[in-house]
Amino acid sequence: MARDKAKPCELDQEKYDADDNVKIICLGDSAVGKSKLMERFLMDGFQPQQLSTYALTLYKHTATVDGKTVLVDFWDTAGQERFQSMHASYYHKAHACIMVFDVQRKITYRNLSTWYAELREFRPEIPCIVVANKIDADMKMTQKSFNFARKFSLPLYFVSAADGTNVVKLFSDAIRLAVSYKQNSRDFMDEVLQELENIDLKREEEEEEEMLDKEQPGRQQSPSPS
Amino acid sequence: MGDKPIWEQIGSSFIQHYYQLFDNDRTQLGAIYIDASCLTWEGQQFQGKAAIVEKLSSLPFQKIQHSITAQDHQPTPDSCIISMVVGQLKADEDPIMGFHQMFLLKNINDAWVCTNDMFRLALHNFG
Repeated sequence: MARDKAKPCELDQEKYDADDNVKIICLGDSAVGKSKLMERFLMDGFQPQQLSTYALTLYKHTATVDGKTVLVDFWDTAGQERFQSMHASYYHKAHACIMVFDVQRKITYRNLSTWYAELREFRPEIPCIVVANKIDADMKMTQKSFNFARKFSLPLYFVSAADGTNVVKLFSDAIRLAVSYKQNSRDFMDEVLQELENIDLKREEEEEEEMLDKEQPGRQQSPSPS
Repeated sequence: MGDKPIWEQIGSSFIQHYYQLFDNDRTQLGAIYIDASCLTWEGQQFQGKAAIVEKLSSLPFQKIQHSITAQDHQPTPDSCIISMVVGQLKADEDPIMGFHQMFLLKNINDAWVCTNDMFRLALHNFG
């Protein structure tokens, strides 16, 4: 009963606990092409869900991994990151992260470390893919070694949202990683939270029992030690 | 003319001036603050003209456009003006977001300056 939170909210993050649901978040500076990549992958005419009260854009996608159907929610920001840091619940229950920079703008590459630090603060273990976007503008960039990815042993993908290079591969691999993370490993924090929830439940049960005891005096009369 | 109380006139011309500066060249906003001014931007505090202008100038967007939905102004007992704004903004190519902003204006040497400024995006918690 006490868990009944009557909140006016279109977003149910509980669903990400279900086996066939994964949440993949996109990070990176504004205008590096996160939304363009999503749109390229999901093809024309796709209508994302705009949640303007949270400055969020959700892209829903159905994928098949090892013969099983997986419902994927891709989370994209809608600009609040320019004004403040991201809200903690953006990271909540995410199973993988796609972190994008623009090879044409150095600053977006430099800012990866800030994004990565914030990601790891909330999700220490989830798989993270680094994406070098807009390689169509300068193919020489694919010859460059980007130290950031190597330093943290993260996979690096050279993609172009404009001409589609590597876009499908990037997203299929991200989905695969999210699914395998979900099946095989659990963040320490997830476990702690799960524990806390169990404790809460136990405590509620105990309290309920106590209340019952009080409501029915005499039902459990212990011999009073005078 | 003259129907509106003086604080409404001063408040609304300040608001117009402020967002015009903000949208055209926000490095010029120093003109409206003093060294005792305080800004709270999304919960982060800044004090003094220099710190405030630095914060506002370094916000990571090129273009910004504010659109005012509503504004309210009141005189305070110590002859200041308090103003509240509800509006929408668009930064570069991002989707439009709502915001709230509040100003306290004080007349110093025949000029109105902003001594207190609080800004919040109109975004809500989820999950």
